[in-house]
This record gives sequence, C-alpha cells and structure tokens, in this order.
Amino acid sequence: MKKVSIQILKLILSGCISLALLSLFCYFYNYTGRHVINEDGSTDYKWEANQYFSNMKEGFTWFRFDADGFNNPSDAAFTGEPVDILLLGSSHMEAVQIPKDQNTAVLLGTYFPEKHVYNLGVSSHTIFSCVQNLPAAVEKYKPTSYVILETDSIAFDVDAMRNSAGGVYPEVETVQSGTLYEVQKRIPAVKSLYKAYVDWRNVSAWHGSQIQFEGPAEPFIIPEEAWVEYEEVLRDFLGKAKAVMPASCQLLIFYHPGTLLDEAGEYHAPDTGRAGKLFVQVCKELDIIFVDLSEDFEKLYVRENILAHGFINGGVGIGHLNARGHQVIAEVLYKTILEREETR
Amino acid sequence: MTLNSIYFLPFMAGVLAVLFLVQILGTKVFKKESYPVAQKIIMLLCSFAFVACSSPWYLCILLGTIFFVYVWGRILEKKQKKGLLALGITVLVGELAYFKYTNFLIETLAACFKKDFVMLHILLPIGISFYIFTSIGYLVDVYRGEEKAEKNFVHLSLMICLFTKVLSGPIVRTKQFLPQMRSYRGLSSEGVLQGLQMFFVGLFKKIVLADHLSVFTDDVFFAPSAYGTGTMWLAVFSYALQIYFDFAGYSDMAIGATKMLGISLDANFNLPYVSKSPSEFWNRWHISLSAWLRDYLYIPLGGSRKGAWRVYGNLFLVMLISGLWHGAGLTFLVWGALHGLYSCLYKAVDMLSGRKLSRTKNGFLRVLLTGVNFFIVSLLWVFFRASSLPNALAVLQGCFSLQTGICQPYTWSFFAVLVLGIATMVACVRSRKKAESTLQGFCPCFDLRKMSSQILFFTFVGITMILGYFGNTAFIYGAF
Repeated sequence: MKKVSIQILKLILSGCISLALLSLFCYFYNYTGRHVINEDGSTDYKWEANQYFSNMKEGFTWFRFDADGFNNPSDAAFTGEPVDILLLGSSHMEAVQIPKDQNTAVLLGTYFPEKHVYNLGVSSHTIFSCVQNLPAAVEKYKPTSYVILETDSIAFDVDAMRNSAGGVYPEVETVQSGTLYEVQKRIPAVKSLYKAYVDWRNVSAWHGSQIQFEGPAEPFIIPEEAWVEYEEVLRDFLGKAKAVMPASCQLLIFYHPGTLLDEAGEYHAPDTGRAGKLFVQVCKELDIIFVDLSEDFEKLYVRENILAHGFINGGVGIGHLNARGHQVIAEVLYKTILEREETR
Repeated sequence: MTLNSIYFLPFMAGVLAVLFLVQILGTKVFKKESYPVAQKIIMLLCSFAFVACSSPWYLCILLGTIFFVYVWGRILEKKQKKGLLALGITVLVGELAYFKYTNFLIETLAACFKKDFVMLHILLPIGISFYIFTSIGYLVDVYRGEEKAEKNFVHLSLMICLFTKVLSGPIVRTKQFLPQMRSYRGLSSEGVLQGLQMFFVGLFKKIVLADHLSVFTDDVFFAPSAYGTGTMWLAVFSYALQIYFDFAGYSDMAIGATKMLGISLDANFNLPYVSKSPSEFWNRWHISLSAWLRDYLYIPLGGSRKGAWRVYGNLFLVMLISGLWHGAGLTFLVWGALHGLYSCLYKAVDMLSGRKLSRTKNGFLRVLLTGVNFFIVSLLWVFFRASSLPNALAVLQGCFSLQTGICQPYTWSFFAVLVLGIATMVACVRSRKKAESTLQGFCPCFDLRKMSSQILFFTFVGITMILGYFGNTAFIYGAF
C-alpha cells in the first residue's frame, strides 16, 4: 500500500513539474492570455491590461496589448486625447498574427502622422457586434474624422442585422471567475491543452474534407419576396451605425473577401451577388464610404503572386490577413481618405 | 475510429482495464492460469466491435474471410496440394480484387473502349489489403509446412484482425504471431509502459509532423501551377517526409498499442531515407509489406537465381504489384512501374560496376548515393500523391520549368527535416556505440517508474498535444 501511495505521489509531482515546463513552452509558443468584460461597452470584451501575447500557430508574434487591452502601438492606457480615426473590427483587425507595427491601424497612423488612429479590433467580433457597440465606442473615443468598420462579408443574415440594430445581438461570452478560469490564469499550459483537447474531440467526430476550392462560392440567395425585407433591415442596420456618428465624422466600411485558388491557380473571391449590390447602394444612400478590397487582393495575387491571407506556417491563402494584406488595406484606405479630403 | 482519434484512447484504456481486471481475478482470486484464454477472447470481441464500429457489413466480410482461412488452412494441412493453395489464394485475391479494383477495371475498360460507364457502389472494407495479405501468407506457410494450421480459432482471428493493427497493418507473419498467441501470458507492466511510449512517439509523428505537412502538400498538389519552382520542390520533399511520418507514425502507434496488450510486433520502418539503393530502401520502408512481397512473390518467381533478365523481370513485376496493392489507380500503377524500373536500373549499373555501388566503403560516395536515392524516391512519390497522371506531370513540370508563382517557405517542412535529422544522428551514434553493421532506427523508451522519465514523458505528451494539428487528416495508408 505504501509503495502504491509513493508511486501515485511521484506521478502527481511529475505531472505538476511537466505542467510548469509546458507552461514555459506555451509562454514562448502560444500564449493567448485571458479576456475580461469591457465595462464601457465599446467592445464585447477586451484583453487584460498590457496582456503579453505570443503566437507561433498562425504567423510569428510576441507582443503586449495596450493598457486598455487592445492592439495599439503604445502600451499606455487611452488618455482621452481626441481620436481622429477609430477602427473597429474582428480578429483580422486585432491582428495578433503579425508584428505590432505592421497592422492596418498602425500603418494608417504612419501614413497620417498628424492623425491619432485607435484600433478596437477584437477577435470573435463581427460587423454586427461592432455596429451594436458603436454608440458606446463613439461616446468613449469621440472620433473626429473617421470611424472605420471592417467586414469580411457583405451578404448578411437578416436576423443578425435586426438583432444588432435592436441592440440584442449576442455578445461574446467572457468568463472571469470559476475554477477553470483560475487554473487557466495561473497555469498557461492548461488553456493550450484544453484547446487541443476540444479541437481533437471535434476533429475525431468530423468527417468533412480539407478546405479546398470546390467551384466559386455559391452566391447569396434568398427568396425573391424576401429582398424587400432584406433591404429594409439592411438600411435600418447601416442607418443605426450612421446615426451615431458625430457631425464631423465619416463612417467608412471596408470589405475584404476571403480567397481561394482553383486547380488552375486562378483567383476567386466570393460572389456577393445582389446582396453586394444592395450593400453598395444603401451605403451610397446613407453617405457611408464603402471600400471593396476584392480587386486589390486579386491584383496583389496576379502581379506579385502574393495572397492577402495566410502565413508560412499555415494553409496557403487560408486564415487571417497577413502583413501584406494589412498593407494593401492600409494603402487603399489611405488613398480613399486622401481623395475625400482633397475633394472636400 | 482510427488510432489517432481521441476516442481510441478511452477505448484502449477500457480494453486494458478489463484485461487487467481479468488478470488480477485470475491470479489473485481464482488462483488459476486460465486467464490468458479469457483475455484473448476479450481482445477478439473488442476487435470485432472495433471493425463493426465502422460498419457491421465490414465485420461480416471479415468474419467470412477468417472462417474461410481457418477451414482452408486445415484442409491444406491435410492435403498439401498446390491446386488447393492456388484456389485458396484465388478466393482471397478475388475478394480483394472485387472490393478494391472492380471500379478501377470498369473505368479503365470504359476509357479504352470510349464508352460511358456507371461506377458500382462498392465500399472498401477497412484494412482489407492488410488482412488479405496476412491470410495469404498464413495459407502459404501452412502449405509449405513451415507452420501448422492453427486449430484455435481465436488465435487465427487475432492474427488477422487484432484491433490495434487491423486498419493498416503491419502485415503480421504466422511464425511471428501465432507462437506468441499460444504462449500468451497476459499484460506486463513493462509492456504497457513501453507500448504507451511507442504509441505517443507515433502520435507525435502523425499529428505534429505528418498532419502539419499535409496542409502544405495538399495545397500545392491541388493547384501546382500556382506555385513557384522553389515551393514545388519544397512540396515534393515535404510529401516524402509526410508519407514517412504518417505511416511510420501509424506503425509506431499500432506496434505500441499491440505491445500494451502483451504482443510484440517487429518494427515496420527503419530510417528508410538513409538508404543508398532502392533495395535497401525497400528493406527499410514498410518492412512487413516488403518482406511479404519478397517471401511470397519475388522468391517463388525465381528471385535472383534465374539469370539477370529474369531478375529484372521479377523486380519489375513485384514493384508493379506493390503499386497496384497500394491503390486502384493509374498513378499507383505508374509509381510501381517507375520504382520497378529504378530498381532494375540500379541493379544493372551495380552489376556492371562489379558491385562497386552496393559495397562501397567510400564515405563521400555513400552520402552521394543516399542523396540520389532520396531525390529519386521523393520524385516518385509525386505519382503516389497526385490525384491523376496530369496532376503528377503538372507537379513535375512545376519542379523543372522554373515557373514563377506563390512562394511558401513552409516552416513545418523545415521543422520536420530538423526532427528527422536529429533522430538520424542519434541513431548513428547509437548504432556506432553498439557496433551494429547497419544503421538501425529505434523508438526511445524510458523506465517510466523513474520520476525523471515520468516528467519527460508527460512533457512530451503535452507538447504533442499543443503542437498537434487537428484538422481532418486521415492516415494515408488507411485508404489502402
């Protein structure tokens, strides 16, 4: 009995030492930290103040978020100084896959050195979360020139638009207490192992195939009679975003499509069809600047053989925007803003 | 369920727990030595359940095969007639041919006669290529009188369909497996601990190395004209590494899991990419299949005893059959044929040079031969991987045409090279220390009763999980 007890104790101790070693490894290889509820409501959640972040799973990055938990060049907290350009978006804008100085927001800041650009990009957010959070974000950051919304789709689900406009779009859940939270907080390896377990379980139950080109994406189709309602809800949804803009501030939405290559190596962006046209039309009616990156991404591929998405440690053209993708977006936004400033 | 499925772990743990319980009850409570019989029956029932999980239909086919092999083995033992052996082999090969090659035949004939065709809805039973070869080997051994026909149905069934190896082998040999069954003594802590380590080393090869490499090679082989020449070459070499880590990983997992059950299987891979010649390569790659083809096909055909031309013919035929065994498709046939040509060409050059190539002691020449062999084998894998012959040619064209395109210096390829390089160097040092005549690969196993080993093992398992790729990536050889 004593022998067995000693063996069990040894096993537990070995497990603890291994967890410590694995945590050190995670700190270097993949440490995503913890998110906390954003009390001001400008985003569903934010990262802990000056949260360290490492990522070698998609791209290679090691950096700290700012004191407010967002990816901005300065580590300091937001001081209240006027923001000229406020950027809201998803994990693409959070940009944890590329070095801090290469994301769209930072590049825009370097192109417009006189303007203060602030990035509120947070992963798991969609344009619906961003529009829902926009009033709070505008109230806190008081943008003076531009609010930029990022989206990777312009063919929307009607209920999502309606919920967002009505302020009842489901928020990204944040767990800030409990045993699992405490364990994950103190032992980084636990989070990585748990994530691996969930992924492994999911893939073991899944019998789908690798993401690969199976013809151009199906155009967004809804019944003919539903288009009237779609347009109405879209107008209401974008109108809500437009309505909260301060007088001097322009709303700009940019769309960056995901891309796939066919067997011949030809580039294909999703066909947004009627929904895309409607989106452009409503933006125009509401005086929202709309920027479509489809052609720019295609040019990037055709001229330079570079895809705007994907990294050298992942699938080709699959995943988040890479540094080149961010650069193209920043350049196009810069040109768009410059042209507007000149015509004013 | 495959060995890399998360559900296999609780399944395996459950089987081990039941076997352990039976062993404890057998030795401590009933004080009888009959528990191994119960354990073997449990393993067999688990194997049937494992196959039935995929489809009860597959289990029916498997049971039919086992009954046939059992009865035919007994008949062959009594009447050792060549005709009976030929009939037995024809039935088994016919079974394999029906499930694996019917649609290929229809497709090929329709293409030859330019007719429309309808594919038959034939599902390939899991592991059929492997258990049919095991069965044929058994019948031949019985006919030759090298082994007695197995009277114990459980023993024969376990040899054919033990759940740890039914999916993709290794192809077990009668003389290796049945004696272990007859003298089976149940689980041992040493076997479980060593098997566990082998299993996780295999899992590392599979989910960390092979599966990450598959992301890149799948992309490049899907649209070869989109990539630059440098990336094409990287993809070709990455596939060579992917298929090695995939199947060697699977083999380690299968051998490790079998070892946990108290049964030993020989290694299926032995650092194949250090080979200096095609024959050495096949002695190190998928050893159980190569040995099977050598003993049951190449040598009966005359081997290298009937003159040079016959040797070339036999080599070519064996490689062609090996290609066809791997898959019903022109790409596999071409792959086998090209390997046959390569083997013949090497043998001819070696003979003309007075065996200077195969017997050289010159270090530089040996390294050069290893490099050339790896290069050729990697190029031939292109046909193995490609979805069609035009696809294979497009990949080769991309390699040799200096085309421009996407540049993807995929980091996992370099990591895989690093791991393989370190493993090879460690094996070199170990082989030199042990004064082995040829380089031998090995699976690192520690004494898990020591705390330092436990820490290493837990950390290794954790790193495997954290680095693992959990996309949809089946075992390559699972399709055969």
